[in-house]
Amino acid sequence: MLRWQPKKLSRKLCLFAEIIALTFLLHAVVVFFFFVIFKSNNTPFHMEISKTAKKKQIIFVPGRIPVPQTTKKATQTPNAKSSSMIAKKNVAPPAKKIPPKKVTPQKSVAASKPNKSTTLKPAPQKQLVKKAVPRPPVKKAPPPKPVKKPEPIKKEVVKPAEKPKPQTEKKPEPIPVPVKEKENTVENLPLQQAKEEISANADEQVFDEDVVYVPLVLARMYCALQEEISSQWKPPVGLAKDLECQISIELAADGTVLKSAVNESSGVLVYDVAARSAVRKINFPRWAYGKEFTIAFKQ
Amino acid sequence: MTYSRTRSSLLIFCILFFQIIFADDNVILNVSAQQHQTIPLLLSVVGKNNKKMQKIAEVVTKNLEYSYQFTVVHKNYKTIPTKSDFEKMAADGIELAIFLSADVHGSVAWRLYDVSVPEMIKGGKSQSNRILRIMAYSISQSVWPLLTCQEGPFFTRIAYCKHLQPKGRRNRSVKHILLADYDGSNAEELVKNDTVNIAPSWNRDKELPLLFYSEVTQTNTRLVYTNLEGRRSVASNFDGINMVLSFAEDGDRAVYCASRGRGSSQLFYCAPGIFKQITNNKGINFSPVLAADGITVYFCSDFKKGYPALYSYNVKTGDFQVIADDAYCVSPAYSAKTNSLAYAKRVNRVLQLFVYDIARKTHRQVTFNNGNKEDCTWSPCGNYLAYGVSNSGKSRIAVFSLLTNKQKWVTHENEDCSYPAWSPIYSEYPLVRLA
Repeated sequence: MLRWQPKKLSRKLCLFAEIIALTFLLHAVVVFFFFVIFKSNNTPFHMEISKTAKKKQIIFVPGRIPVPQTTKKATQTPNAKSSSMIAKKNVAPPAKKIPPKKVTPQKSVAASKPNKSTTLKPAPQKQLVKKAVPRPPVKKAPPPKPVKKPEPIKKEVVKPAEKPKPQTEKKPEPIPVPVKEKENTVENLPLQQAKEEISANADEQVFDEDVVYVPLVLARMYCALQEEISSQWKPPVGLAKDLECQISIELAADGTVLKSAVNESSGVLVYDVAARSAVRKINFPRWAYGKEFTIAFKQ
Repeated sequence: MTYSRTRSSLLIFCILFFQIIFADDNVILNVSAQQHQTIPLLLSVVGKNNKKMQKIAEVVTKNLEYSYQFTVVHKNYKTIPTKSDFEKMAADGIELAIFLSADVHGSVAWRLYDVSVPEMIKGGKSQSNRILRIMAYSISQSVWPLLTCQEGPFFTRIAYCKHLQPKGRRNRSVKHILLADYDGSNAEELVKNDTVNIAPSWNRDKELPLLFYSEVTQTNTRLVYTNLEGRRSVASNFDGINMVLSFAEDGDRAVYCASRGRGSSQLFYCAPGIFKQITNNKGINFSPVLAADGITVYFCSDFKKGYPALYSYNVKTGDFQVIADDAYCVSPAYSAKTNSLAYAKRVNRVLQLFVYDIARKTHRQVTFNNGNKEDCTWSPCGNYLAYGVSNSGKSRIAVFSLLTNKQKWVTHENEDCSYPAWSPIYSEYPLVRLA
């Protein structure tokens, strides 16, 4: 398959190696994007894919690791999501990969890398290995050898990790809790849960970051908000069909409309008035509190 | 399998990066209207609330609610409301308010307020008039464009023919010409001689309203015009028929049809210093209308198909075009406001109204209900069509709103009325002042 392929290696092994190389390359690109383009922004994202049924859509769910906070939160969210993925694929590598996070002093960088790798790559690799193992004779067992290599590393790693014992004791607790949450989210991501996730985790600074980092979920939220607005948007009949009125809205932290200004008037007083009236009637969802929007009211 | 997974993971990363890179904090939500509702509007008489002001407020209310765009709420104040009053109004869901107040010289002042700001958008005075409804029409006509950016139909009238049977003369029928307000109220007779008077049309001189119509005499059907005081003059008196005069927007050029004693009806074009025949065929050419440019004539003729079809003819270039000839088409009416042509076309044995967009060259059917619709005429604002609906031998006049697609009756069902002609907006309300 590959030109540099040694004669001893089987095709499957080469394929496996190739996949590893590809995934490594991908991760290199990911890291490059994060650290070069976003200037090492310390809030890595996490994503979850629902593949429960082939017909279902793939949904991206934002997972945010608030790095500046305590290590608990940083470890809980990624672990939970990765575990849900792994649970489906009947693989149990998370235990292996959690310890390196503890060891690494740079929490943000170290935590982000292994999480992604655990969620996406190890699972397919091991499935392949399992399928490959029964067919060939015992001699072709060596492929697991490289897998075993990290184990000694873990043993070494675990020793320094023993020092912060109180932290390690707490870690196993959060794992089962998020798994339940993910079972819900994987099958059917309810909008309300997504909102609650974000609103619960949101500090002021972090929330702004979410807007940038998690547009897919926000898009669903905005769709819900759009529906709410359109239910209130009832202009009078008989006006030109190409009218449009843009109103910018600033919501207070309690959800009341602080400011609403007509950015672009339609030129028809009644139309603008109807748009303003609609703004007053909108019941904004909790996640929208404290945010600014521009609503384009169209015929 | 593995390749597909790596590909899918690559795809996911790409999508994610794309989303991240193009994500924007400034979110614009586009919302389209799925429903419509009326806008609440406060109409308040400020100060003296006598019968005169009540009557004016009543008519203004009727005018504003005519198109189903506003719901008028009444509440009177002694003075112009304070800021706190405006806040209460806004809390009640009222966004706009009109305040009427009696002026010293018998006129009525009006003020349009944006309640939520609150500030006055514009104010003005209506002309003093002994007829209160005319003052109300004047106010409505002034306020309407501020609200909707459209012209209102309030300061206009509809002329139409009413079929009567004189007492003791059962064999003879007479048609009088009446003028009614835009909604059919306050009808009054303008032409009431003992003959058949049909096909009225208005001139375009804003200062001097004249009504042209055809009067059936013992020898011919002549074209006559009258002012609102009832003074009549003959405009065209050729042998045969002289009918359906249509003016261009400038009021200087006109076109009409006349048979001049021959078997066929031909079109004649009139302009300052010009009088010429523009058709010459063996068919019947009738119902001509002049477009805004004053040189394009739309008319009906059966010379080509054997049944009436719709054509256009450019007087300058001689360019001739077919507008609609796939079915029986009659009574075209031109609107300069919308640059479109309304006409009646036979669909499933019923004459229905169509609108032809001249710029886009598209036809659109606007009415679908029972009854033959004929002799349509545009309101000057271009939002309404008046026409006669004939059913079981009787004709009734209706107004169709192109805004709401709703039809309203203008005349009573017991009356036999036809040939509506919507007046343009004159400087004075076209009130009949017979001597």
